Amino acid sequence: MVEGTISTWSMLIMLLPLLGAVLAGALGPTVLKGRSHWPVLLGVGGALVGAVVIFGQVRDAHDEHQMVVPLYDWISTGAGTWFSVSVLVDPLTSIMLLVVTGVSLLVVIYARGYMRDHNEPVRGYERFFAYIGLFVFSMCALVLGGNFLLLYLGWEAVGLCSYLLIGFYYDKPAAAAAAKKAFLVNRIGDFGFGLGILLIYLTFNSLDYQTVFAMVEMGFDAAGDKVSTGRFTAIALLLFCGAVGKSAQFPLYVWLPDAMEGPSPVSALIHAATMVTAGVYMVVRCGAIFAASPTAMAVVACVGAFTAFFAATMALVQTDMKRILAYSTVSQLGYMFLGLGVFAAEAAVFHLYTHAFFKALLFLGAGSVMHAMGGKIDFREFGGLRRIMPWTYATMLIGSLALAGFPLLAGFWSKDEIIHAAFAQDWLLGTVGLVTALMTSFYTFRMVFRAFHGVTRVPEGVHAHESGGWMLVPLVVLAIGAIFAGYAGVTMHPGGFVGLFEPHGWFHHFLEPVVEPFKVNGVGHVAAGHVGEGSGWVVAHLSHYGLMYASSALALIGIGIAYVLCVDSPMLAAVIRRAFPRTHEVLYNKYYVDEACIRWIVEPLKRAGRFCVGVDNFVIDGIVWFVTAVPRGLGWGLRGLQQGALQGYAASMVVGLALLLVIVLFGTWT
Amino acid sequence: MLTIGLMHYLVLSAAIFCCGIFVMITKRNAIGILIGVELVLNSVNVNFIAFDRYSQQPGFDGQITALFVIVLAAAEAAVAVAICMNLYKNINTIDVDRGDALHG
Amino acid sequence: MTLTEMLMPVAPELTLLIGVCAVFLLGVSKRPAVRSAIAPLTLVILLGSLVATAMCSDLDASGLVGLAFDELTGYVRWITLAMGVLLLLVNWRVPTDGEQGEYFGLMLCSIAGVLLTASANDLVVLFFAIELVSVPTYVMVALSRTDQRASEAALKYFFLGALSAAVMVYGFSFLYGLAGTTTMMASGGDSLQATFAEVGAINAFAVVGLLLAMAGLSFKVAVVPFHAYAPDVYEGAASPLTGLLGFLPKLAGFVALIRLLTVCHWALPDSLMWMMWIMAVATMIFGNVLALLQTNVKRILAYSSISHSGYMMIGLLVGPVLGEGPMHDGVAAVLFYIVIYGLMNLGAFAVLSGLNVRGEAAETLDDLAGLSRRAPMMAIAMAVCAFSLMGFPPTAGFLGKVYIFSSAFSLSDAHPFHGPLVTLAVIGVINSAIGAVYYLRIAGYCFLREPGDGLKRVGGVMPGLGLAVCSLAMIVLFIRPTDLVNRAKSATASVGSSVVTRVAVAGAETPPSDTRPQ
Repeated sequence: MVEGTISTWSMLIMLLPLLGAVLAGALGPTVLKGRSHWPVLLGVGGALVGAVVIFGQVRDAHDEHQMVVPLYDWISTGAGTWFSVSVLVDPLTSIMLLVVTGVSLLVVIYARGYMRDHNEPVRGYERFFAYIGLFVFSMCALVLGGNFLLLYLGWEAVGLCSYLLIGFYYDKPAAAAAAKKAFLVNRIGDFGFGLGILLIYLTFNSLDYQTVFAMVEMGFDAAGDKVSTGRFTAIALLLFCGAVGKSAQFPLYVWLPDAMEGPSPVSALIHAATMVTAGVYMVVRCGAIFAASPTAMAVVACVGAFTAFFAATMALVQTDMKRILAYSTVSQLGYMFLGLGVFAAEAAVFHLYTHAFFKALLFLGAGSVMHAMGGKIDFREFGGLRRIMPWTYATMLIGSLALAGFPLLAGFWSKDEIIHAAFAQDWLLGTVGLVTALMTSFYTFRMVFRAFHGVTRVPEGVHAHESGGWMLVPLVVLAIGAIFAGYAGVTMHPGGFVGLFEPHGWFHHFLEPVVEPFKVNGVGHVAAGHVGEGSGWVVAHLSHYGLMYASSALALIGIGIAYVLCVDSPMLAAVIRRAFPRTHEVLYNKYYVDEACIRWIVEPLKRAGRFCVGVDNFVIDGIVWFVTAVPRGLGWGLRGLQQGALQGYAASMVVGLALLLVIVLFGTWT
Repeated sequence: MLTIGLMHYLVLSAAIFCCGIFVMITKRNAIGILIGVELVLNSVNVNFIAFDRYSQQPGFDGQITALFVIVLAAAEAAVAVAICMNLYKNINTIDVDRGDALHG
Repeated sequence: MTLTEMLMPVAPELTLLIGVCAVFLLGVSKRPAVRSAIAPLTLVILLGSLVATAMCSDLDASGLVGLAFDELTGYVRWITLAMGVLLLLVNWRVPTDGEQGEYFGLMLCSIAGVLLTASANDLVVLFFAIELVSVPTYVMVALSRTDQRASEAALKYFFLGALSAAVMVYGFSFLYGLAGTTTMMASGGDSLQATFAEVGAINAFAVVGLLLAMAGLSFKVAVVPFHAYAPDVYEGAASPLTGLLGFLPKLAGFVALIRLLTVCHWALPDSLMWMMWIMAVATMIFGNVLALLQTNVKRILAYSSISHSGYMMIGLLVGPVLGEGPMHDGVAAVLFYIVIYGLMNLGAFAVLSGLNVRGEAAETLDDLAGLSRRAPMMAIAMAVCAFSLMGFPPTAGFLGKVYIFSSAFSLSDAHPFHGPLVTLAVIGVINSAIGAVYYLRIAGYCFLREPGDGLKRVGGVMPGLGLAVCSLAMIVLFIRPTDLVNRAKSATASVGSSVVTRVAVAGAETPPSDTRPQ
């Protein structure tokens, strides 16, 4: 890696989208108008070029897998640097950058077509692109940053962009409420995250990744004392709080489904492909800390597995396409954390990478449907769209197959690896993974069949049409990715899966230096053949290939059930629903979590709030009034000196001078 | 017999200085205030010349400075008169008491 | 030494002065086309002066009497000319047709004055340079608008300014009496600095001279009790000009104060230190509490300008600490802060000048109500400037305050002014909190009030550009203050070289020592 190249391009990656955002925001309303997407498009395109260059640099590096480039000192003293702005580049960063800038570019292209109503830019067109540019900048800063402070700044900045974009249609009450909810729920997680960073600083007296992780690996804090496992657990769990919020894990997942009130490109970019994976990125980055605490790892695995399962059950009965996809995202993120928790970080990152393709594709496809249906996205109101929208249908079908884990597509490889690693750790975690995979393929194809198959129906007064080129090109590109992206992590191997493939390919070798902490401290790892307790049965009876065949079978079964229930004999579905009315009710209402939250958390807080307001009005305001009364009174008194007459001013100056003279002369000679 | 020394000049200049300031504070007419400013600047000149005369060091720094101060006083007088005219155009008087629209 | 070689170091000033002549001459032209070319010509002159600053790296002043060049000169030249460009942009449309020549010519004079202040090495030159900054501004106030308030403001500004100048030069006369020469610093030979090293500062002439000179300069930077003119003048002058008044005289005043303190080795007698301490406290409090009562935004900003001078006085009291950044080095902190202050102040006034309410320039808080609906970008710019003035991240004003206040802690424990300076920093922080009230009120009016009638965006491309640069600079300098900080840091090299370590930074090897002559 050449330091100059890295520093130049990493600056450009951050600055170009920012510049695009500033131009779109500043010139958009007056000069650019309907062309406001261009600065952001070009800026993000430039960032993608930068990401490719950095990727090339990292790939060609031989022995040096990590490089920290200090860009400049932010606040420095002569004695030393208090805080320096630096970037850290390693394989993880380069992959994240490719994913972020690549998906962003496609989404910006898509949004050029989407954010228009009958080819007229919607209100706030330039605002939308300015926010997107700002988001790309923040996200790149988050993954490039070389210390925890930059990570935190990027973390908060992407949260802000997410808030602004969810509430993009701010005059729609649901959107405004969803934005507020996302913001508040994330605050809970971020509070823990901030505490975790504070604890890191207190323990290691540094926020620099390299310094901190070096000390973590040796196990000593800044004072040279041994750091207890409890301390590591505390730090890891506090950091994980942030990940739970940002990556929508149980119990803080509640904001993500509501976030679908934002425009569909935003859902694809921020709430599926990039921002929500920041938590996964952070855990991998802090792998040394997490791996040092078995408790934290167990928590990560369990939260991940439970979220994956829990979210999938809710997706089974929803009728809003974007909501199904949102729950699916929560579920897939759960898979990633499950992978992290069972020490298979490379599988988790691999899943993050494949997921970005097919989930962005699905959201953009859903957006395309929504665009055609005049803003409707509930598939009870339309159906059989495959004849009207053949391209959207074809690409969404590919995306759905990838999500469902259909053999040989992107999602299959990565998900299967996570499940395998989970089995190696604990059979229960693995089983949860398999069951969730079955549900995934069912709900995905339920959505596809209901929306695209059967009799063609469209809402009244809607002129249904296939989307234009700006929207279709990104769909096609992502569809190609959804088919082939998985092969970055697969090698050709005679006698492997279906006689040809062996998982664990180039992608994993590339990531090896990054996930090393998981291997060093990890108690069980798949590739090393080191097997955790309790999974002997599975490993004995089910080789890796066997598991692959099993999960392919489950995917096909799920699709089959969906076909039977939604296309072949919809009556059967109604029968089942009537047979289990309570279950359907509970699932359809998402376990009443929102209602419970409002009843048990929001309302009591509101009551407490009203009480506090009462206290505030009388006590605090009184104190404030009293405190400000002092300067105010002083001001009234001193105002007499500013009567406006020239001589008065001259006199005040002369008297002041005389007073100073007296003070100084007495001070000097007494 | 009384010999005139440095201190006498300094007292003289201080007196002129105070007179000038007194004029500035008490006069209402803008030209009167300008005269006060000139007095103060002349007290400065007296100081410089006196210090130069009684200085141990060779050189004419004080005298030259006094010349410069005279030049500046002339320049300031020009600006002052211009500003007074401007005020007169606006409020028909150069009585500075009348200009108290700005206060507080 | 040829004439060209001799004049090379003052090329930036000469460029400006030649430009002044050209601008004055063109200003009397009868052809409108010529007159409308004056503002662009002024821009060219300023850029030319910047080029000259970049080119004249060889700063040999041996051929020039009364001038000396060091790192501080370079710093002041750069920031003054760069700010000058912004000031010109914001003032682009201020003069009425036919007065462009006078207005922009005087502006160039004022800028040249700041440049000369930074290279003055003789009391006479210093005095004239400072008057070259001030006198044009008196006239500009009267020119800036045809309004009774403008001429009243000019009148007050002029007479009080003349009084302060006279006080200052009266003080200079005592310093001359003490040293027998008007040369400030010289390597060998008579100079004020050498005299101070010899006799120390506890001498009747020295104390009286320094006090009067500092009092006169305090007027330029608007420090209590010499601040009275500021609110009236700021209110009376046109808003874009007020941005200039808040920067050029202040900068000149602080540079002159730094020079003066360098001459006496940053070792003032305790009584003068206490005088500055009292002035700093009074300035901070006076500015802030009176700003609380105002409803006119220009007056608020005028009082805020007074309080900001108070903050900067802290840095002057700390003095230079060689090789340290502005976290410890008070002078570097002041040099950094004054640039930030100039930018945010100009930005705030540029917003005001870009708005019209029922045909009149926007001035009061009510005029700004609901700005975010009428002109969102202007409202954002105003909010950025207000937050920066308040000292909130993510704006450069935050860093400026951090530097100023943290520098107050850098005197060693043994130093007699350690305690008082820490107290001063605490008073400063409390005052920033009071200040937040009225800055937030400005931002609140922009964003939270219902818009009134007739609020209209006026101005043009150039003032808008100037405003955009000012407010963007607040963010950019927060994200990356490094270059400016490094320049400010090296600028203190020359003013600090006469100081024997009087400051012990934590971890430094040198033991604390007080070099003040007893």
